Amino acid sequence: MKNNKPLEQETSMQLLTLVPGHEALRYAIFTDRLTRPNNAGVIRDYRGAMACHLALLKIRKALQAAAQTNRKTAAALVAIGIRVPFGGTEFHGPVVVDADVLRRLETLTSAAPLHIPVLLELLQQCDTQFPDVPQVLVFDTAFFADLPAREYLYALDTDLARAHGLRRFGYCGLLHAAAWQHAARTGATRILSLCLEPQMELAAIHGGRPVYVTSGVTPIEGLPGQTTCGDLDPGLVMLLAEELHWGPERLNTLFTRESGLKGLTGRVITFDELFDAPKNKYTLARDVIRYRLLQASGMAFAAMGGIDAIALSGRYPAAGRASAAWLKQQTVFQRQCQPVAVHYLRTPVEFLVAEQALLLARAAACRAAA
Amino acid sequence: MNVLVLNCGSSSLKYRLLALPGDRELAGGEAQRVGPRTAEPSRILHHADGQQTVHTVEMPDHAIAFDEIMRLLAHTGAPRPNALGHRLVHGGTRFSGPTIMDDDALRDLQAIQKLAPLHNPPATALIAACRERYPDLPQVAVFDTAFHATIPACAATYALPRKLTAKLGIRKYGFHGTSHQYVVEEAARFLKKPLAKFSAVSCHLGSGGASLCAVVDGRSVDNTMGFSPLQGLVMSTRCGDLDSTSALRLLIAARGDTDALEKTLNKSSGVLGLSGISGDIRDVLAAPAPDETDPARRHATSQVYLWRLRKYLGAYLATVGDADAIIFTDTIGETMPGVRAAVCADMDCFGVRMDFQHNAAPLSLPCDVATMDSDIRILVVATNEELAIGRQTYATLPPP
Repeated sequence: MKNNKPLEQETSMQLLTLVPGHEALRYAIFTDRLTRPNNAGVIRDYRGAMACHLALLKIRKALQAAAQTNRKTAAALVAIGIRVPFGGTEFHGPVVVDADVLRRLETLTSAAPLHIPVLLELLQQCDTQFPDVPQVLVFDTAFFADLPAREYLYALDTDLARAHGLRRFGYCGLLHAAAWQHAARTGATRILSLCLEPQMELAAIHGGRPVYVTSGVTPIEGLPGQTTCGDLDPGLVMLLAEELHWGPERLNTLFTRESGLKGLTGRVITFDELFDAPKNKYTLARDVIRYRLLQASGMAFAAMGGIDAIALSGRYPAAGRASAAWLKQQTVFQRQCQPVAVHYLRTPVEFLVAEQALLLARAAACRAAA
Repeated sequence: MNVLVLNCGSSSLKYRLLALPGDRELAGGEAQRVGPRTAEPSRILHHADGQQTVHTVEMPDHAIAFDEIMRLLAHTGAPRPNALGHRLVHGGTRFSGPTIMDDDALRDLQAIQKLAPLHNPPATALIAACRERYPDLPQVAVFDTAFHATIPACAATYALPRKLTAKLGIRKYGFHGTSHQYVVEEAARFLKKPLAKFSAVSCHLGSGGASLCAVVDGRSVDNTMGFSPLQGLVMSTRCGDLDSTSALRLLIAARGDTDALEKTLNKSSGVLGLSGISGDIRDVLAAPAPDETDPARRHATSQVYLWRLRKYLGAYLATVGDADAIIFTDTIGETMPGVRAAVCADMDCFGVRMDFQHNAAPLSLPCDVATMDSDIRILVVATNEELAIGRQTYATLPPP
């Protein structure tokens, strides 16, 4: 792969990536080469000032340990790359954190109340633990910040939608962008990109630009996830609120934590487990997922006037392969004169974050030197 | 047999007196402003033998409107109806076909009112009133959901906990079934294909509601509307597809008032909410006035409307697999060639090729506007829900 070049020729260098999630903070340490991390881990409890402080102390120790196992002695941390799930329309690409970026992040708090405060705390603790190390934010929504208006607009009152930030985004942008690049090397221009994460997402990418994506205001819309409901009739929100006397918070828990595969099977399973299961197990859930995938694929065909390739990515490769194989048997795929190629992106998301972080940190260093 | 078809709206009652078989229309019309007194008087627009008359009369509810219609029919010398055919929006899982309304059926119908709180109650009350007034007149209810009873589980199931969906009757019901069924039968006849071997995507594009229906072997296998008529396409004042989180955010903004949210999503969204100028897509697609304040907003509205339609057409063509035809019907589908052209352009990957010149020319319906070499026919078919209800009523009752 093109990425196994050394970080620097002369001295030893380190790069840290952080993926702050709902329940845990994932970190990975790359030393010298961007091939695979020397050290990676998950810290369960990292929310709140104290927990976050302790989490970063632990990571700092891991960085020191990784530096020592490397034969060179003075490994310097050159950048921290942080994956951010939501950048709204504010961030159309990765950025190096500065005062202006922090200010812009704060404007997103109402749209992503769960993510932004946690992120701001994390950035502050990084400042304390690793002063002067550039922090690079890589946004999962950035790839979709330029969706065409016809795709991102809901059929709501324009002022109301604007006031509440109701527009469509995609949420696996890093993986979609990399999967598209991977597939485009073969000359394909109309790509159906299917990202197999716990919240599955399908996007149509035409000449490098996403023109259709299954997710909406949140990744809940679209395809059902492992615990998320996917598309619902909006009338159901009213029905559930009235019949169950549930408030918005309880309903949100229902839609995000208790639905999807969990709701359909009554069990906590992954997409890999769903597609690996024997034929007579999880039949309904598998039928529902396949059917929704077929319809989303039909939309991708309509959105691009056809497709040249399927690009798979994400942490459930077996589910991806099984889905693609099933889709290719369907009439709409069989009808194409050229067989639809299937590509699978193996690169883990940490790597994509590290790559962007290094690129931006270097560019910033060059600017500072000049 | 003379069937009086009744189509009950929230403040209107449309009627059509049909002689069946033979589809002959004897009289018809519409009672308007039924209900509490409004600024203008309630009236009945009645037509028979090519003549239209207007009758101003107080009609505080649908039962009284029905009395007035019966009186008007008798007064104008129309034959007495032998049966009543009622249009019902929602039949739940209980009614999967046209049903004779006896005591049991009426009780079951009353039990499912809350599935369609806006649409079912007036029609149900009307049936009860008609039974009281004319106990000997057979009545048949024809349901908008019935044609969709064949939608398979993979399409009808929402990915919510199954205990919850079972308890509350949550599933995709689908709507506009009477119209979809009617145009599918017409299209199969037009193409001389047996209905049992006919597959299509039916596009019912009304100036108010709109939905697509996937049909395999003459049976509905999916519909863009869902549990309620709110899901799916961009409609006149209904939002169609919406992220559940959006609905929750709007519910919070409305301080938990579900009625207010219902009103927002049903009455002030869709084409009206997007454009800010009109709830009729024909107004939005028309050429803008030279002094228009926000032409970009008008443009965005038509783009969103057409794009959603195009995406669903792709989804449903994928669902059907080998479709024989795409069918366009109802006001927008029949009269707006630009809409048909926009969604059928560049769909070669599905085997769809439109003859754009023919499509743009004046058509006499039914009509095929696909090119000779198109794998899938593109048909424009006039829908006629009242006639469909009349035919189903006739077919359901024992021969006279």
